[in-house]
Amino acid sequence: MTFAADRLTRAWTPPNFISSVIGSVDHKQIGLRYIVTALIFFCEAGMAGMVARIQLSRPGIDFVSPSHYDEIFTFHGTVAIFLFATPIVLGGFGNYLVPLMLGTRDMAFPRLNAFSYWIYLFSGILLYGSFFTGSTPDTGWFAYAPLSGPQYSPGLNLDFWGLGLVFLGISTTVSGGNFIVTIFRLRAPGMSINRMPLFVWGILVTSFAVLFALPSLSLAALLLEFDRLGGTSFFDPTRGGSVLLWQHLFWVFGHPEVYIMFLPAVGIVSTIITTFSQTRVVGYLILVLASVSIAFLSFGVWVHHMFATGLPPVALNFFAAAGMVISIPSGLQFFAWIATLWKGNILWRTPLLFILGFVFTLLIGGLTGVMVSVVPFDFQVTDTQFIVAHLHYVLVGGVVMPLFAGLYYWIPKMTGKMMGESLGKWNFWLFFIGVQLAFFPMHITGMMGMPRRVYTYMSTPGLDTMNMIETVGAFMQLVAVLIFIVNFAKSMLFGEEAGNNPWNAGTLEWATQSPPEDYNFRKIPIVRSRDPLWTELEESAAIAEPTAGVEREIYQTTALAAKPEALIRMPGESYLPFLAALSIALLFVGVLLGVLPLTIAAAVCGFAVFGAWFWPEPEASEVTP
Amino acid sequence: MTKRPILRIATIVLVVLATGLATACTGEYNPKSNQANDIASLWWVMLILACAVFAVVIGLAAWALFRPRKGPSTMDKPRSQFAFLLVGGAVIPLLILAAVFGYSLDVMGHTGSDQSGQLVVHVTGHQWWYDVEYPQQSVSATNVMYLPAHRQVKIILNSADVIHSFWVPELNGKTDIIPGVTNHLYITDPQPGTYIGHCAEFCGIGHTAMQIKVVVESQDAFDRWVANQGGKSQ
Ligand SMILES: [Cu+2]
Repeated sequence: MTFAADRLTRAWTPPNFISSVIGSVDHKQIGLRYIVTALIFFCEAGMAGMVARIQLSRPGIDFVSPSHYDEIFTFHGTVAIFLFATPIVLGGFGNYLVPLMLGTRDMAFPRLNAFSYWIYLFSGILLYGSFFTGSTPDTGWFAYAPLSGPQYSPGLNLDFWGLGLVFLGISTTVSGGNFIVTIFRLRAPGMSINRMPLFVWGILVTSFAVLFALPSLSLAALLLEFDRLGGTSFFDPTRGGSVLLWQHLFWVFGHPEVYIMFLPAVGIVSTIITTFSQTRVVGYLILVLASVSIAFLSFGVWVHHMFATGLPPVALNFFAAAGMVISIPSGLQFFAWIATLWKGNILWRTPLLFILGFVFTLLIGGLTGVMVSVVPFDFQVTDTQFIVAHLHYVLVGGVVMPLFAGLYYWIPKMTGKMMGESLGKWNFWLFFIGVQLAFFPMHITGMMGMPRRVYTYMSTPGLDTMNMIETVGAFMQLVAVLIFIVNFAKSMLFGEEAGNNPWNAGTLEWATQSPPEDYNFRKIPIVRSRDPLWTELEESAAIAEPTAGVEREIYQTTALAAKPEALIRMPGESYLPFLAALSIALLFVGVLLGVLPLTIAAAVCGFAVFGAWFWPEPEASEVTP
Repeated sequence: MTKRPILRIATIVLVVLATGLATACTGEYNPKSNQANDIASLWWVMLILACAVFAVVIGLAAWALFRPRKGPSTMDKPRSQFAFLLVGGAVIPLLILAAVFGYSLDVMGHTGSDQSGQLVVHVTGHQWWYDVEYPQQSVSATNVMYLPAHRQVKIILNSADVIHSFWVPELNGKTDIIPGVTNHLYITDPQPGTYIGHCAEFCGIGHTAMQIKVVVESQDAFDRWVANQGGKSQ
């Protein structure tokens, strides 16, 4: 037993400190890095939101100048969507949890995974770089042409934005592909596709959505850069271009993007509701099919965001109907969760509170979502504060609250220490009430006629009060986040030991130590049900032969039934992903600043690094058992 | 532990709903034309339906959480689970959505159409002002639009630079003003009054200040204004 563990440790633990920092390919390391980086971006986006809220707290004040205000809301949206929400659900929670939940030792392509993180980090720095050059993007996270074109936004600011997104797109696409292969081929023996945890389903569906949606954004951003740097006129109507082309391309990506953030969060919700009801989930198949159909439908509703652009009524009504149909699978999810809570015995702990906050908040966001899919009503409220309210109910309620729940739920696994329950309750109630106060009144100010993206408004009794309440709510959220940080620090210093499975959960990640060893599982489990830890996987029962343990090896299993078919040799620590990402980053900087020598040097380095990466290994990398 | 959360949740639900309804009822949203009236009635119907759905779902969730846990629950049987999901998650939402969609098609049906004797106004959006022209009267104005009450107006929208939007909350929903595209909207039977319209599509640093004043007055007053501007009356 200890002998096998020693061999596993020798095979899977990085040889020295530098290789464990720069060269790490461990999915848990990469996942944690994603989570920490994304949470830093969350704080940045939150601070930008706070500045905007202070500016709007009273009418006619000058806390920031109008031009700064434009930069701030652009920064808030861009960072929150691209650098926080998407990376934390996929790269963060996905990376950390998927291999653990599948009962394997790593992702299918560990070096590609490291590469994906470095690209994400560098593209975040690149988008930030715009601050130091004094030209910050200021046309909103949607960057509508022609305002974002060369004529109305000269300077480098929009190039930072456009190239930064193309660059970031590489990272997200690569992770999407990596998840799909991992989920189809690396599940523990016996984990047939109908026994896969619901969170993994969320990541799988999202990964497919990423692969189909992102090309549209990358294309849009590339065409914009051709217009800006190359003098083409894709989006310039005075020279035969079309400004609506930008909106179509952007929203073909943008609408699925909402669900790319949301579907993994739905997976977190299903997981936590199952654990804290201590019963098997009701309607597993319906929950899976709901996620799949939401992802499909989300590609058919992009015109949602373009109702007021003067498209013909027949088209509008088609997209309105398609948009409404999405609420059917969402409704089924809600009722499956309620039925699970109903059937089970409730464990009142902080993660569940955040999930209940999610149910309450997302329900309101969903109902206003149906309202804005009704075309004539959308004419009235689109581009007003009503939409700001709706999207924050959906994204804060539907993504941030499940993320907090997920952090409270899985931090004991990640650090081995429990989070404090009473601080957790304070965190929840302040955040929950803060969200309602900050965003609910925006529905009303929108109905009263207050547009979006304005830095001030005319003083009227109703507007003044509502805006002040919103700012107070924003401060409550700030305090809640500070409490989270205090709670985390306290848990790291004096937290109670978590043990392997503090919540008595049913999925495989809780079979590992907290925090898990570098190799995750001492013995690879054999799975016979959806909640293996609740049924047969107690102590000695049903464990596959351990892999030899001299080299890094994992089981490859069949896509549907998860029958073992091969042992795959996995790569160890490598500096190549870091170097590859760095060369691409320098290449982008070279293009952006127009420095030819840097561009050429970076391109040459990039070729060399990828050459080394793809150089054929001297020996066969697959061994059949 | 069981008593306190339910009270808190109930209090929050009530406070949120009450403030929302109260403010909506104070009449800050005042429809003053046929199109705006249609949108307003659609809004009230949807608001009532949404409150009902909200109350039912939150009520079910509260019951699921706080129900007395003695003996077996009705939700243990797969058949009752299936019925619960099917009826609550699919059948009832489908009926409500079909009704709302049908109603919205009806409203879409009377947004207005070209008719004889309607007033035509050309609006051109600029960074950051509105140019308002009356081709039938050969007069023009800047950032202000005079309209005769109780007639139908067709507003034709073009942009000189970036995307803007034309939106007077009391008179109709908004229509974007897009370079390279000609859009239009109708306002039928506007009531007399002075209304402020905001540009609603972010158009650069002057977006916040980009507003248009719409003055709806009697036909006589409108004709006098046209004559004062040196235009021809119809
Ligand atoms: Cu404008």
